[in-house]
Amino acid sequence: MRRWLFEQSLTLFFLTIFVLSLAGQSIAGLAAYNQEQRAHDEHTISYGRYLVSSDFGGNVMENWQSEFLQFTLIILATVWLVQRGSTESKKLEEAGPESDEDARVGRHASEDSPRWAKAQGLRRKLYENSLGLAMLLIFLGALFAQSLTNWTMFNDEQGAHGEPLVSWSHYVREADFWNRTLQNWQSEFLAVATMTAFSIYLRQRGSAESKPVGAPHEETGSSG
Amino acid sequence: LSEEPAHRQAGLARADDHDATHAQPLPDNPSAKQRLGVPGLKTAGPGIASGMRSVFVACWVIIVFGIVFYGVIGALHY
Repeated sequence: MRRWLFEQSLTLFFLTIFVLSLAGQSIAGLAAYNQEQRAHDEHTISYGRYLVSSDFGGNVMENWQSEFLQFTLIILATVWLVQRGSTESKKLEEAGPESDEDARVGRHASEDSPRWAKAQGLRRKLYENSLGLAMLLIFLGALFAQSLTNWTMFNDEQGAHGEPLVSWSHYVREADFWNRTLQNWQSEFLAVATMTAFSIYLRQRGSAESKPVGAPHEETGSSG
Repeated sequence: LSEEPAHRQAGLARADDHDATHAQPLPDNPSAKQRLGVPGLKTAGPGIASGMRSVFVACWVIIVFGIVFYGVIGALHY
């Protein structure tokens, strides 16, 4: 068991703090929601009702979609784009899709390679791009869910102020939707750009995200 | 040993680590245990692969459930 926990510790750590953060968000979100309701002389709601509300769902989905967009773009951009000296980048001469030999696919696959890496045609094409595709699908799914929950919240506001309700297709062209979306995107993009650039000159001893402490700044694509 | 990158000390090769492409995960020998830096751990057993699968599936379950659940909540104007 101890061995099992050690080998999965990175994922388990992040899943644990994900659950704790989500719980914290739901408690703080409910308090803020009810505060707003009281300010407008409207009825407050229970914790259980808040968990299944578009308000909470929208806040969660807004952040999910931007995180998965970030990973989709990192995965795809790092195929072709490089940053000299960064651990987030491949070596400069390796920019672009790998050869079959480097990717260890088809006849270059080894005995213990995944089955789909040894396959040909569509199956292999899918597997070769499965990480990027998975992130892209999750991003699109979360963005769609965000648009639905935010649409409901938007129409609630509209109704409360005696304004006309709008359709979903109208809402996704509204400033409200893009304000909520872009405020999440900008922070992700800045964080990625900063991480890429910082890893050229800064180190974290022992971290897989850093070069070895003594590695030269010029060294690209290495990690601790 | 102390001059080796941490992941190689652990017997693990990263995809971008061309010098260690032949390194296999968790070699079954006493020095490998020592190199892990976690005393008292046993060497890899048959349950390890299912552990990797568990966290992989857990992430998918959380994500698919979250997206579908709140997608439906939004669509139903709840």
